[in-house]
Amino acid sequence: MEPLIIEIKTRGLHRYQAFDKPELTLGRALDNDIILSDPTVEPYHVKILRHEDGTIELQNLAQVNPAQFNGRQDAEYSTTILPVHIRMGRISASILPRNQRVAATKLLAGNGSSNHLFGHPLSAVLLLGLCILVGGLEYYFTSYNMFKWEDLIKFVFRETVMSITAFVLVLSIFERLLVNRWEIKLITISVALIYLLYQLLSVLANELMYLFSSGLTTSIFNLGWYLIFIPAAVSFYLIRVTHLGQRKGFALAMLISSPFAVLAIMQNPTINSLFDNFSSAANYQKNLSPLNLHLSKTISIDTFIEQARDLKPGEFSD
Amino acid sequence: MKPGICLLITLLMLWFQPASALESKNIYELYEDSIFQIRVLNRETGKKSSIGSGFIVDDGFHIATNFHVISTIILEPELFYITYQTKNGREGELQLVAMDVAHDLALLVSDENLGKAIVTADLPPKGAPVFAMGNPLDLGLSLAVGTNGGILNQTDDSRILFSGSLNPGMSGGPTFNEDGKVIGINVATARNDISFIVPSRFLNELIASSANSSPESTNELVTEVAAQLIAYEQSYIKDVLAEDWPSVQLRQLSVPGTISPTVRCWDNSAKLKANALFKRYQIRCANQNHVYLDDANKFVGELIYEYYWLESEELNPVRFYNLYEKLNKDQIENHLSQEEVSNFNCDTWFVDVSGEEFKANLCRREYVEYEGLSDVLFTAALTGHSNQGFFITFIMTGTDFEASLPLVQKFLENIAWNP
Repeated sequence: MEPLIIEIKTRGLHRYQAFDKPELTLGRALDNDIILSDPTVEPYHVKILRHEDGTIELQNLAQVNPAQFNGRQDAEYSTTILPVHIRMGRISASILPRNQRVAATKLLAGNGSSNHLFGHPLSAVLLLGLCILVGGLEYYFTSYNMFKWEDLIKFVFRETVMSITAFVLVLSIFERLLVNRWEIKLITISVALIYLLYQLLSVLANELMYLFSSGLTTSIFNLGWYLIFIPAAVSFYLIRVTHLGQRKGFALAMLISSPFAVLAIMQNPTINSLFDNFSSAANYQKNLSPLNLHLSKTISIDTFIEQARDLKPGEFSD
Repeated sequence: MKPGICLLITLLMLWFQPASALESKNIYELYEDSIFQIRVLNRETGKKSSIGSGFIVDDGFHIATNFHVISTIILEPELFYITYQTKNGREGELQLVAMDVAHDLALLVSDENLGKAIVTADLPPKGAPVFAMGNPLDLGLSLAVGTNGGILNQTDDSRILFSGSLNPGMSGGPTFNEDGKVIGINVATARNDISFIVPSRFLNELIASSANSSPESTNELVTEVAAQLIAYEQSYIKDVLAEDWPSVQLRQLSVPGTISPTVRCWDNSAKLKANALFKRYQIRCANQNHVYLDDANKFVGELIYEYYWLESEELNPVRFYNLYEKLNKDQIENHLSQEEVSNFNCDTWFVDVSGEEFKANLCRREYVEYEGLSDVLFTAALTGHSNQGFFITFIMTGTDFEASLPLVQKFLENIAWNP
């Protein structure tokens, strides 16, 4: 008899077993041909019979959680067409022909090369070190008192180490639940890259705000970062590194990113004004820059007063 | 000396003594029938919304009180009405005839003659005894003795300092001199024995301007309040602009100092930590002639300006500017809600001031009920210096936006950079 393949789907790697016998049983009892150690599966759940004419006959043996064959809950089900999908409790299985085509092989993150950024554990260590250095620089540039090591350590621990650790842990837990694997190295590298990029872009956004004399650049940066970049980066990670399917990876990325997106929306003055259209504070351009690059021309006091006459009062809220 | 002769001499001395000043008990007895409790009542509940005092003036039909005592009726004239109550409990309704919002005065009229009007007089010399009467805390008519502290120029001459104790409920009551004439109207208190009186000349002006006036139309009350405030602000700004502004040296800048007698300036520099790598100096100036508007908005007519100088030799430009940006914020109080004011609308300019570049912001919002009345916020921060920063915050509340701009202009023109 031509061997067929039984595929048992699991959260991690699926189980595959070839069989060429005319009869095969699946269930939780240890004298089955294929043992399914799931509490929702009966000791003897399904029997598969193969006939000479190529027909495959499936028999439901379960009283509790009866089996489904190709989505139908029949006591017996016969077919000659493969694949056949079987549901036993919460276990999904398929009978496949031996010549079933498999999906194309996906590249390892970093192409499997140890020279690649994603390919060597040292990259994670170096990037973490760089993040701590950037965190230290952030402390240096935002402290205005005499230097104290203990203040630096507290700041870097609180602002950099804790943030990165929290993100790595959350993403690791997601990955463990999704594909039953730990990818600490890849997650650490990805989070560290995002942290560095955020630091760089936030400085750039501030300079652009000064350049254009408009808070819109920061609003766009914040919204773009949390609504577009973070979901895109998580999708990229789930699809290209974790190798989830595109739809699943994208949906999951949206789910993971949504708390940040909601926070970004709630804290964005432009969006806020759409929901709560009153602010008793004067939201004017407070930012200053040592580069002092701006597109607005420097005007005389007279011209300023002349232009200021056109300033209308703000909108009344409903 | 024989006792009979002593008695004769004493009697003769008393007989030839010049006419003496009235004592507090005389004043109380003379005027207790001419001073009333003024009440604003809710038509629906019949209960008091606010109370104060008032006294008979002019022809016996009119009562003077403070604007803030009866201001509840301005926004809701259909719901509230004004009454008086005599010491004997007699009550009657009053109508608003005229008001002077800037000086916190209101003139009310009754359908019937209320009694003997009290006449006014000029202010006695500083230190002379004066007597304030009113109904403190709804406890009945009372008299507070104090002395005249003179007219306060920091209040735009609109207040007399009274070294007696005024309490809530006495607002609108008269303050007498020793001759039993009204020199002013009780208006406010700051703390123990520091109280304020509106000079009676403003009451006389109000009475004169209201001659032949009929009671104010309730529909136009809000418009009238806004118009009076705008007119007062325009006049006040005009006076401030007419002054010669003294300069104050703040490190490398010479800036306007006390630009009006109504303004007081204080050093507001916060104490720095011993390990701070920078120095900062702050001056805060504010006027004292605030105007009561209503329960929600409280006081308007504020003029506040602050200077903030920042310098450091230790901080590099990036660190310095991070600090500079962090400190660059306005001090406007934001207790008003959307029921009272609009949002601020702001715009940004880069302005050349004395050869130095400033990043300037001007913001403006309007009052919901009082058309034409605005809050103005102006800020300007020095740019282009790697380790020196300076910013101004300039705030005017309840003002005329157009009228405030020349003030901003003169302010900037009076800033000079001394290299």
